[in-house]
Amino acid sequence: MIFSFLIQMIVLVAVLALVGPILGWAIARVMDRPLGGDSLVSKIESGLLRLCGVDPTQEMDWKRYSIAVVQLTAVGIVVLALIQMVQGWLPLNPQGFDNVPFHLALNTAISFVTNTNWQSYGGESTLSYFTQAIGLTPQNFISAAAGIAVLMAFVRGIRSQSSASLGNFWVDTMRAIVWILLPLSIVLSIFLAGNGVVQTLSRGPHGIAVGPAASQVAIKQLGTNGGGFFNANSAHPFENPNATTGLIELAAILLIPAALCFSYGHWVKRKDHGRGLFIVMTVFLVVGMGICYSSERITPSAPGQRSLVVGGNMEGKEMRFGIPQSVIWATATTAASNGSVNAMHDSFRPMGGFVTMAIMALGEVIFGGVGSGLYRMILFAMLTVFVGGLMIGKTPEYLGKKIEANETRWVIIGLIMPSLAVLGGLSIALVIPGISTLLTNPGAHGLSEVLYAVLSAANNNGSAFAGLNANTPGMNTLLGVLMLVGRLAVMLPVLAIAGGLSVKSPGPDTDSAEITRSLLFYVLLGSIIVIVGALTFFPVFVLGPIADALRH
Amino acid sequence: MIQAFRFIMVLSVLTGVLYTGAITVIAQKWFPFQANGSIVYGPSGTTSSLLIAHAVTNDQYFWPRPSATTPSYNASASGGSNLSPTNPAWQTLVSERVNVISDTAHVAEIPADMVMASGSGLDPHISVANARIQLFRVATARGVSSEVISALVDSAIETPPFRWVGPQVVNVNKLNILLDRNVQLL
Repeated sequence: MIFSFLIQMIVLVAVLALVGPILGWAIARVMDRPLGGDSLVSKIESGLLRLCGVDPTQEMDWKRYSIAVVQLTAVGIVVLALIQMVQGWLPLNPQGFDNVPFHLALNTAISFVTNTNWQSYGGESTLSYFTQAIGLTPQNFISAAAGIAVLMAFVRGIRSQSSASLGNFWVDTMRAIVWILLPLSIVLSIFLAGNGVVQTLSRGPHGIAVGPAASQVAIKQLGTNGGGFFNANSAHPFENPNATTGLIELAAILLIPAALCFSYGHWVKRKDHGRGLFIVMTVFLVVGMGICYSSERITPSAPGQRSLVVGGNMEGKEMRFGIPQSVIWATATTAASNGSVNAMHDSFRPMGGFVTMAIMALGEVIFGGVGSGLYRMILFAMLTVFVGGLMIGKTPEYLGKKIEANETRWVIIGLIMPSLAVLGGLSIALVIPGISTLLTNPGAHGLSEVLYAVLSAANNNGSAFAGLNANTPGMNTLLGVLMLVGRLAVMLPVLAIAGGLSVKSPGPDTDSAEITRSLLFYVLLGSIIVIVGALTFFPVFVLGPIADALRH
Repeated sequence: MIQAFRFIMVLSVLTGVLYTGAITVIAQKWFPFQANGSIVYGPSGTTSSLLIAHAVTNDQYFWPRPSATTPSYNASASGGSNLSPTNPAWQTLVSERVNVISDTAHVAEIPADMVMASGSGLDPHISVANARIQLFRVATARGVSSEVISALVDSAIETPPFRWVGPQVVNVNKLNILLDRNVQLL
């Protein structure tokens, strides 16, 4: 078993380290290319932008870019909520599902628009094919692309020679879909369908739920969305039929977030910096996987059982994946802000569950969401530059731009808001009357169920300790608010920083104030991520997973 | 706002209607069996999927892993137990399952997949060790020697393309079909 675990982990990291730079280079090229051109994709791109009524030459400063982000979010939520609330009257509903109630529709809409993909609903028992294919699937694409767009805007802020323009949000988002997400999704969904993932618009025989799953599963992995077509998500045989599809989907989860590190290196002409960020993320990922594996390889026993049970903790895990792929997936999906699960995290042993929570609590910067993971990591990098600057007594510079009071303020806001949402949200959730009746497990593990939910929502992850029945008006509303805060309260500060940096002229071309070239910088960056995460969340982790682990 | 609305509408057509539609057409043309759920029709007119476990209680067949859906093996509402191994309810449930097996089959070790519920509740696979424990029950119930059933189990073992990708497993649905083809029901 350990052999399988080690090889799979090494192969996964090797794929990211080899394919990541190539894809990263390609992404850097297509996001930077001038509009127009003779290729088919360029023509599709221009045609679609014309259909949308976008003027591609219009440049946006950070405020206009932010307004566009907020508008797309708001309209996306309204449209998606409305589709669900009238799905009973729409076509492509062979099971005849009813309209979704308001609080659930709103929660699901926010969940998909913010790239969280938290599921308060049960896929195959609540949502029609129309809602899944024409409501949710487009938001899988749009929310991921918007993450790349905001990252791109930030890059322009770094690169700009004192101009306020950050590009055009609509163009950036469209580009990311047409050039990156859609082609990769087409390839992946056809591969999946050939391997047993269902893709049909008819109703399944004898109560066997089927549907257009392959097309949605492909983008849910590539776009770090994670919302399953079926309730059991990627543990369902129709979403993930064998260990090979499992490994490919696993690579798809991490591929674009990893590649974007290398794109970033190209964009800011500091390949070493992109590589450095990738390595920091990989170290955290590998450590997380190791701890998770060492927890789940042990078979939990029950008092009174008269035979020895062997084979690890298989509760909530699928036989075809076994322990190794289940723990690698659990760590990757919580690291990458994906949130699709191939095993039920609630049934992990306490330390295994702790890894999945801790890696979210670090702020979804260990690869993190498409675009969003990297820009959150960059916030940490800027904080590190600031702290490093204090240590050596110089005005800190990040990639040639001075980090001053304005930027530092927004960095702190962007880093602190999701944590504030987690702890605030947890406090509110715990005083909701009857919260304990929503739990499946008692004691410290019950607290972990609620903690996991708020961590997942406020960091836009979307996975769950699914023993918590979150489909109540109170929890749906609370988690909806947390998801919005986790998305916009990071995106908007990032854009504000980009705006601040864009109008500064780059400093004199000396390395004196630039500390990002040294190995020490990355050690400091890793330490700051750990220290901020630990200081914020240690007390509540002691009451939840750590107490749970110590008692057993 | 109108800009955002138009943008979403255009992309709903592109990535909702056209993308889903195109993949559906391709999948239905190239992989109709897989795309429709790997459905097989049994001799007695039964319809089932090779990839979805269903309830089996007859001693003459192999049984899938425990399922935590309501009711068990509910193919239209998948899910796991979400019980923590630290939960007394889980411990009671699992020790009962363990003791039922240790009372009927005389084995030193029970594979975990035999007593712990799967994530989807529909896991069609069991471990090889699980199948080897069950084969004695099946052989007795069908009145044949255990060697016959053991050979069938061996032929049903599925190995991933690379040994490290995943464990060797036995698909219960396929094994039971194989069983009916080769050994008569009593």
